[in-house]
Amino acid sequence: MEWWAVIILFFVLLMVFVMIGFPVAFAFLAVNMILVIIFINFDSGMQTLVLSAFRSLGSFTLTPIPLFILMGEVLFHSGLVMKLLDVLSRWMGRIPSRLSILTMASGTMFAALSGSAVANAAMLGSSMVPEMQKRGYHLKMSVGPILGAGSLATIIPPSTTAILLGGLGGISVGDLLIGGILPGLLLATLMIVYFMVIGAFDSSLAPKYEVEKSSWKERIRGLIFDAFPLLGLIFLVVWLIFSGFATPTESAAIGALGALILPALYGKLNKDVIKKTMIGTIKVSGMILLILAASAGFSQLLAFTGATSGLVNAVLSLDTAPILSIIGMLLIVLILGTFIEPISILMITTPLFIPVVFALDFDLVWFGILVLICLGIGNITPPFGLLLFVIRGVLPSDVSMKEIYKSVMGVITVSLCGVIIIMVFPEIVTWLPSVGSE
Amino acid sequence: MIKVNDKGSSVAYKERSVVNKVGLKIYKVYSTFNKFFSKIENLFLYIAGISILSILIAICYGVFAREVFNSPVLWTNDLAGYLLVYAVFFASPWILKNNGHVKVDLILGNLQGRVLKYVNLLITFGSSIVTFIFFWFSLKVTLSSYNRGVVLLDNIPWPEYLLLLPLALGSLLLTIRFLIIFTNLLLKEKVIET
Amino acid sequence: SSEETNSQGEADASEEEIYNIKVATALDLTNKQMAGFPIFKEIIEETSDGRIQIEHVGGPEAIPGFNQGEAVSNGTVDMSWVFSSYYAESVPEALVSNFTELSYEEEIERGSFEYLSELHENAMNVKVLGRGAQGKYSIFLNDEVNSTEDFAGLKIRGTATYAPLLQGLGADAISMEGGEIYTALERGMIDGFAWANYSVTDLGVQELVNYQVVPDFNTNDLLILMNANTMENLPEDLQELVREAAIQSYYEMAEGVEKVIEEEHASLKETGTEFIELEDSEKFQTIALEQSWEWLNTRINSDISELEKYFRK
Ligand code: NA
Ligand code: NA
Repeated sequence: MEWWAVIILFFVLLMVFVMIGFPVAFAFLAVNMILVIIFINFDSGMQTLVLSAFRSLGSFTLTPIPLFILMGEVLFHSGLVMKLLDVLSRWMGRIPSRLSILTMASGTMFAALSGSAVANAAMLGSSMVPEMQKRGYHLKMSVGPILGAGSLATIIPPSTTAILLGGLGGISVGDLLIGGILPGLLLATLMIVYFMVIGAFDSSLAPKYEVEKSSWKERIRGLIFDAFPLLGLIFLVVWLIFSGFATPTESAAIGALGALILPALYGKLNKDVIKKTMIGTIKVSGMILLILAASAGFSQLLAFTGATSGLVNAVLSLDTAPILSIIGMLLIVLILGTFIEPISILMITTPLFIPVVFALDFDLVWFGILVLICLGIGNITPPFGLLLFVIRGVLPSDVSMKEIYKSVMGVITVSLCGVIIIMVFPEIVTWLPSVGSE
Repeated sequence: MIKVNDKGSSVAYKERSVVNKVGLKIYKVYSTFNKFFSKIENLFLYIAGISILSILIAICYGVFAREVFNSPVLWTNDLAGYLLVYAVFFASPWILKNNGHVKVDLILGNLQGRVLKYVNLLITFGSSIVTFIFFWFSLKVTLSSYNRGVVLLDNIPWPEYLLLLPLALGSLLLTIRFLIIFTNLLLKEKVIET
Repeated sequence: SSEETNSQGEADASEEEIYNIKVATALDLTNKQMAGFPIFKEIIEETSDGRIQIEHVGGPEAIPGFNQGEAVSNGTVDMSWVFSSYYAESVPEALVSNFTELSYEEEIERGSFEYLSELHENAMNVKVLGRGAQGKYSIFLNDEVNSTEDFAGLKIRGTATYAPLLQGLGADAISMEGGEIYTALERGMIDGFAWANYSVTDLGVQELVNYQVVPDFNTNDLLILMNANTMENLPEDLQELVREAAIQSYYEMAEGVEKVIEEEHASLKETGTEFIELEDSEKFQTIALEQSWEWLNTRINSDISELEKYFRK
C-alpha cells in the first residue's frame, strides 16, 4: 500500500469511530485492533499493543500530569484561587473595560495554576459573568476575555497538553513548559490591549461604573495574605523547572504538595475539599491518560507501515518554502480543533508532524508552542470548540449560540495575530529556555 | 463537540412505571448486580486515588532525600511510573460509569429517540468487545510474564506481572461496565413497553 | 513471516519461494551504532539472489526500543538489532554480552553465542545470531575527575548496562531515555552520562560535554535477535546464510568503527572536550568488570559458572 493510502485508511477508520460517538479512548483501541489485523497479525500485534499501552504510561514523562491537575483542583476547590481575583479587583482602578481586563489578568494567573483550559474557563465564567451582566457588559466583553484567558491555560505552564505533547513528540517537557511563558504573556497582553481599545472607543460595550473603594490597608493585606502565597507557588514551580533544580515531575510534585499545604494553613483543607480534589484529579487525568494508553499503538503503527517516513519524504521533496509546510500543519491543527478536543488532536497529528518538523530542521519547542496556541484557538472556534459549550453553561439561557460565536471572533483574530508574531520572531519561544540552560 | 456531564449513565429506574413482571425480575437481578459492581468500582477508585497520592509522596521524598539528606534514592521514579498505570486503569471503570470518557458527539448530539438508542447500543456493545479483546490479551501477556518469572531490572526488582495486572483488571471491569450500560439501554425499553 | 509466491513446478518450488523478513532497530538508522544493519541487508539480498527480502519497519518510533525483544518473541517483527539491556528482564543472562572478557572471535570459537541463544530460545523463543555492533562504553562528564575516587556523588545517567560500574564508583545512576540526555545536561540535572564510546555526536551533546573518561569499559551489547519460528521456517541453506551474514556484517561494520571513533574524537576535541586518563585506570576497569559480574549473579536464573565458562577468561 502507498504511504498516502495508509494514512487515509488510518484517518478514515479513526474518524468513523470518533464521529459515531465512541469515547475517544475506545475509538483508538478499536482502530488499533483493526490496523493490527491488517498490518501485523492479530495475536502478536495485540500483545505488542498491550505492551505499548503499559510502557507509554510507565514512562516518567507523564507523571507530572496528575500532579499538576491535582495542584489546580485543590486550589480551586479550597477557594484560594478566588482570593486572587478579589485582590486584583481591589487594586484595579477605573480603567476602561475594567471587568474584561480583570478577567484577563486573573485568568492569566489562573492559567499559571491550572493545566486545563476547561477548568480555567469554567471558573472564570461562573465567577465573572454575573457581575458583568449586572454592569451591562456586552457579550463581546465578557465571553471574549473568559474564553481568551481560558485558552491560555494550555500555553502558560503548567499545561497538561504541553506535557503530553512533549511525551508524544520526544520534545523536552521542561523546555516546552518554560517556552510557553513569554508567548502566553504576549497573547494575554495583546488581548488586554484589544479589550481596552475597543472598550475605550465604544463605551457602551463596557459601561463605566462606580468602583467600590477599598482602603490601602485592605489592599495590602490582600496582597500579602491572599495573593503572595499563590504567586509564590507559581514562581516556585516555574523556577524549579527553569533552574534545572528539579525535573518537571519533581516540580509538579512539589507544586502539588505546596497546593495542599496552603489551604491547610488557611484552615480550608477539609474532607469535602479533599474529596472533590481527588475525584476531579482522577477523573480528568484518568480520562487523558487512558486515551494516551489506548492510542499508544497508533503512532507506532503509522511508523511501522512506512506512512510516517512516506509523508516526511514527500514533504521534504516539496519545492515550496518549508515554512509553508509549517503553516499547513498548523492549519490542520486549527481545523481539527474546531470539532475535536485537543488531546485527541495531539494523538492524531504529533506522530506525523514532529518527524516532518524535525526533518525540515525547525525548532521543535517553537513548533510545539505554536501547536499549543492553535489548539487553544481551535478550542474556542465555532461551531464546536469545547470552551464555547463550557461558557454557554454559565451564561443565562436566553443567550444563543450564535451570539456566543459572534462575541468570540475578536479574541480569535487577536490570537491569530499572536501566532503570526511568534512565527516571525521565534525568539519569543526559544529565548527563555536557552537562558535557563546557562 | 464534547459533553462531559456528571450524571450517572444508569437511569434511575425507581421513577419509572414498571409494567412487565418478567422485565421487573430481570431488572431486579440487573439492579442487584449493578449495586454490587459499583462497590467494586468504588474500591478500585480508592486504590487509584491512593496511587496518585503515593506518586506525590514518593516524588517529594525523592527530592528531599537528594537535596536535604544528600542521599539520592533511585526507586521513586520507577515507582511513580508504575503507580500511574494502576491509577489510570483502576479509575477508568468508575470514570466510564460517570460518563467521564471524552467523546465527540457531533452526530450523537443531534440524534433523538429510537435512532439515538440504537447508536448508543452499537457504541456500547462495540466498546465492550474492544475492551474484552484488550482484557484477553493483557491477561495473556500478564500470565506469560508470570510464568516466565520476569523481574524488572530497575532499582527495585519489581515482578513485571504485578505491573501488567492493572491493564487486565481495568479492562475486565470496563467490559463489564459497558455490558451493564448495554443491558440498561435494552431493559429501559423492555420494562416499560411490553 | 514468509510469503509464498506462485511456484512453477514441484521440483524447484523451494527456489521460487521468497521470504520477507521484517526488521526493527533499537535506534534510528542514522545512529552509527546501527551501521551493521544495512551491511547485513545488502549481504543477505545479494547472496540469497533475492530469495530473502529484508524489510526495515523502523526504529524506536515504530516499536519502542524496550518492546523490541518482546516484538521479536511474539512475531510482530522477525528480527531486531537491539541492546540486551533493553529486554534483559526476559533473559537477564543476555546482559553477559556487556560484561564479557573475551573478544568476539574467542566467543565464536567457544560457542558462547550458541549457549546464549539457547537461553534466549528457552525464555522467549528467540535466537541470538550474534553481536550487532563493535565498541565499548564510555563515561562523558561535565566535572573533571582524576581517579575513581572523584566519581563519588556525581549524578550520571545510565541504564542497567552501566548500573554496576556507577554503583561501584559511588556515583548516583539516574535512569532516563537517550533523548532526554541533552536537556538534562543542559539544565545541570546530571553531571554526565554513560554511552557507547562512539555515536555520542548523534545525540548532539558534543558542545555540552567537557570530558570523556579514558579508559572505556565493558562491551557494546547490541545483539541481533531473530524469531525462532521464522528461522526454522527458512530452508536449511538460507538459515546458514542468515547466520553467516550476521557475523560477516559485524566484522565489516567493525572495520569502520575505528575510523568513526577517530573522526568523532577529532570533532569532540574541536568542541572543547578533553580526554582525561584516570590515574588508577586499572582499578576503574576492575571495578567495572567485577561489580558487573557480581551484579549479574544476583539477577540471573541460571548457573553463573556456565556463563563464566563462555564469557570469562
Ligand atoms: Na489542557
Ligand atoms: Na497552565
